[in-house]
Amino acid sequence: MTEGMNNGGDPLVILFIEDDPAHAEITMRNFKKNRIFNKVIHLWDGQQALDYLFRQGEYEDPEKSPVPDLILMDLRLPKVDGLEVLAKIRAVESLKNIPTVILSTSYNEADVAKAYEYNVNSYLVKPLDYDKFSNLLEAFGFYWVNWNRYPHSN
Amino acid sequence: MQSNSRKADQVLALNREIELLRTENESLKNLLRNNEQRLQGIFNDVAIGVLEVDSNERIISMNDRCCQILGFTREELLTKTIKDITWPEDRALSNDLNSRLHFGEFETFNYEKRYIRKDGSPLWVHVTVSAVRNSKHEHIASVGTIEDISSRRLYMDALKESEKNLKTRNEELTRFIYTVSHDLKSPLVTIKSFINFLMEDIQKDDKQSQERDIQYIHAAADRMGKLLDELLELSRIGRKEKPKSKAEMGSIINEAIEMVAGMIKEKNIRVNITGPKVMLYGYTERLIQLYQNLLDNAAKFMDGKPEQVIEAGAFKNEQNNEVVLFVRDNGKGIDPRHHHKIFGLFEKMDNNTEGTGIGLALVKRIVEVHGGSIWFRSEGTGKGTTFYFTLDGSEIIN
Repeated sequence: MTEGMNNGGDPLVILFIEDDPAHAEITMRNFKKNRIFNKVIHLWDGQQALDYLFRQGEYEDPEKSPVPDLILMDLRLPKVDGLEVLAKIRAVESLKNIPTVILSTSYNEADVAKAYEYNVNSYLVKPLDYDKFSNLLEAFGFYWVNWNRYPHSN
Repeated sequence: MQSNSRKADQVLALNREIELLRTENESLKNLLRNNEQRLQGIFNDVAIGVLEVDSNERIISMNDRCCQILGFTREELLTKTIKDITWPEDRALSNDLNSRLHFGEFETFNYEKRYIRKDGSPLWVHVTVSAVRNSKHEHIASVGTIEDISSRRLYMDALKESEKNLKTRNEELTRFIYTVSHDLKSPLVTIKSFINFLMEDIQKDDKQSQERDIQYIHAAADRMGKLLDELLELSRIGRKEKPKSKAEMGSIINEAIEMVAGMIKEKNIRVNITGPKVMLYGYTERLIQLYQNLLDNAAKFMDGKPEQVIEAGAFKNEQNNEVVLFVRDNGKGIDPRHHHKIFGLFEKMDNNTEGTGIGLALVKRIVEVHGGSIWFRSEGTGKGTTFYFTLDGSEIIN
């Protein structure tokens, strides 16, 4: 099996939701450096993420807006926060199995508990130190893109 | 003869005895009357109300204290049943307990309930009810003793209320600390990462990327500075303020308009002050800041239609006589899905607008230190928004 593919043989589609442009750039630069991403779709807030996942408005076309294989999402987002997005997709049959990873700026026990209640697959906290942040993103890429196996996408 | 004189002696002795018994009886009667009067006095003057009802819960007797507690006269009470004087919400419980007493499940019970006083107000009491039964053990009456516990209830309610407030405050504080730590950490992550990118780009001699890196570092440092300033500002509200004073709403709004004049002119927005004249009472500087932030917020979320209007005014809420102030705009409105986040600290509804998202958190805090509350209504996107708030001591003056 080729690395970075889902079980249908297509390249992985990763939905990346991050409102801070600087943090988005840090993440994307690291992904590029590690050459791990086939297709990353970057959205800016929770509402956009819901519109995408529920195919609303500009995201109507399934060709242009494919169901993601993996979601990487910040927690504190404008309009609709990450936990709400998580709760909403977990409540829908067609979306509830999408592996979802939270990448939060800070550690808050209540948020972590809530996230796992909504069946988050992994909860990561951005380290302050750049080397550690970089290591985390590299490990994330290896694990979720190279090693993890995905169900057939629809 | 002898027998005759003996008989006479016997009669005399009998008479003496009768006389003695009569005196004794008289003094016993006196004692009884005395005791009865004392009992009646005690019955009427005790701090506890006593009420007797028949087996159908019709009131048949009571003491003076009972009349005092309930505010009814004796005659009025004698026409009523327990149900008549029981607060509607407590009738089911009262019914249940009394019928179980009636059928002999127990001989006495006590509980806390509300009566209805003559003026219609509820009165909290502690009641102990005992059954009176005849020789066949049939329930013929009940006697209740009634203790007015309204002041204790009042304290309890006040205590509960303040406990609830404390809990809310505590939750707010926890959320506040979390938000602050989160929002201050975020630019630091940016700064540390872009310093590394900058070093890499220096090694690669990539001038263009170097400039970009430096811009990110600058922006993040500026943002941190701004967040810290605003937090300080937020924490100062209600502390070390100049004394509260009266100020007319219109003049406060006009001063606030001055402070946002730039944006209002640039976006060609009309601001109208409408409704009755209102005298506000509070920290004048803060009240200006409150209106400034509401105007700023309204101006920020205008959608560019030809007639852009902000209306500020007041009206009296007829239900509770409170003066309600409002700031209304015909701008973008607020999506109902985002309503719960509006007053949150550093919450931004739109990434593309300026500011850190402290404005409405500041507004809420100012309203709170003036003993008021704030809410808003928006029919949804494109339909404009109205913020309503109250401030302690505001009065309509014409």
